[in-house]
Amino acid sequence: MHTQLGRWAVFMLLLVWAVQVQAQVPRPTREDSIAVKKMLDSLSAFKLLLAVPRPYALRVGTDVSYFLNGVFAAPFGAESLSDNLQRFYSSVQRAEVSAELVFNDNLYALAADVGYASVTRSSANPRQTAFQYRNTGSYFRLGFDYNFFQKTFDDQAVNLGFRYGRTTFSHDLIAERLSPAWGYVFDPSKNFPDDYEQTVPTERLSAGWIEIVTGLRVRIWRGIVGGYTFRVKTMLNVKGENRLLANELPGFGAVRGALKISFNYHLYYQIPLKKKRGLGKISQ
Amino acid sequence: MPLLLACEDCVYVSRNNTEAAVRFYALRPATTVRNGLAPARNAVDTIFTLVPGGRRIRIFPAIATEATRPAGYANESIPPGAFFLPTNPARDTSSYLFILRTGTPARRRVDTLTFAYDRKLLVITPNCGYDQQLDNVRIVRHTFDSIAFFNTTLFISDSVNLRIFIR
Repeated sequence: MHTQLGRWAVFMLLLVWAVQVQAQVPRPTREDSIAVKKMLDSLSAFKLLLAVPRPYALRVGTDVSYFLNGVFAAPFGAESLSDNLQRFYSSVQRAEVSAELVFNDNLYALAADVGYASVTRSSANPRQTAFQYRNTGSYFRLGFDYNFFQKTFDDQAVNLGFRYGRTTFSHDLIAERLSPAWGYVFDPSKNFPDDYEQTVPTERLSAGWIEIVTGLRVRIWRGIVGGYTFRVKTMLNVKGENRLLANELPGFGAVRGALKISFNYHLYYQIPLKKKRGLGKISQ
Repeated sequence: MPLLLACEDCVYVSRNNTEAAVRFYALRPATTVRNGLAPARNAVDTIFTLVPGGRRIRIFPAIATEATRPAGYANESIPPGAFFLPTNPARDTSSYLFILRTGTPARRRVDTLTFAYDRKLLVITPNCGYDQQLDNVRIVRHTFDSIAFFNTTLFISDSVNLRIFIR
């Protein structure tokens, strides 16, 4: 009997304590509710990222930097404008097709580029170290872009992403080999005399690189989308190099150091794959 | 000699060398060598490059001894008595014929040397031209008493690349 009474007493004490504790928990204020709502809003983009991919749009376009580079560089050359343009476009040929498949209300995109590049570098002073380096090949890039302004804009995007690039190419070097000790004597009347010209050809090389990219996509007019991509690239490996080290990688550019930075302008045509959403976003 | 020649807009300075710095040393018993290598008392009468096809080109214009620097084939970066051997820019091997005077009284001796290397070419910029590195330098054959490459890559900072030991 005493034991039963004791159990009841303990139970009642616990009940009273629990009610007091419950009473001490502050009720959520209006500010708390707003803060929670904001947190949930910020998580909604993350939830959208994890949601089942739903195609939103397909952008197909090209990199127009190649055409702009020649035009911008031409006024600063040593020769006339037309000569500079002709020299640029005859020594560098590049073409690239880009596609971006945009998912989940413009939140992220899968990007793919396919291109071809051919570069010829010649000695600016052929009387001293005459050479000609030629590099030709094709390349592709695959990657992912995340749009940080998905909640603000409908078709515009401010992206951060990455790319993996790969190229297969061939290159060769024609160079003079001056050495009187071995019978190769400089002849000022010829730039590339046959008797001391050497050709170093290498075919079937391949290389890979990775890029961290950031960029902007803006709808210019109807389905036309323009934008730029700022790339920080680093080379991973070059396979097939023998005597001649790669000076240029198609799709990567000139090989100068561990890191390379480039800036590309694009023009796309956007094909919508989903009906437009309603209100709440800034749209041009 | 560095491969690159000066150009107006080029700021690239190659650290690679296409010539091997050579020095003669006296071949002595191992017990007497612990105080360092002694230069050999010899004089180079002349050296020929053995051009593939059977042609010889005389490359030493004057007699050079252990105390002299032959003009055009030595500079302050290498010790007196050392000299540069230009490598064949068109082949992965270079062969030479040495005509020396050594001993007392001086006697004439004729030796041959062939060494091999891997050439690596790198284009710098159109203004700077290209650079060439000779790597994995190794002896193929020789008629000297002993010979050894000190470094397997030729750099302009090297004082001696090839040590030739003669009695």
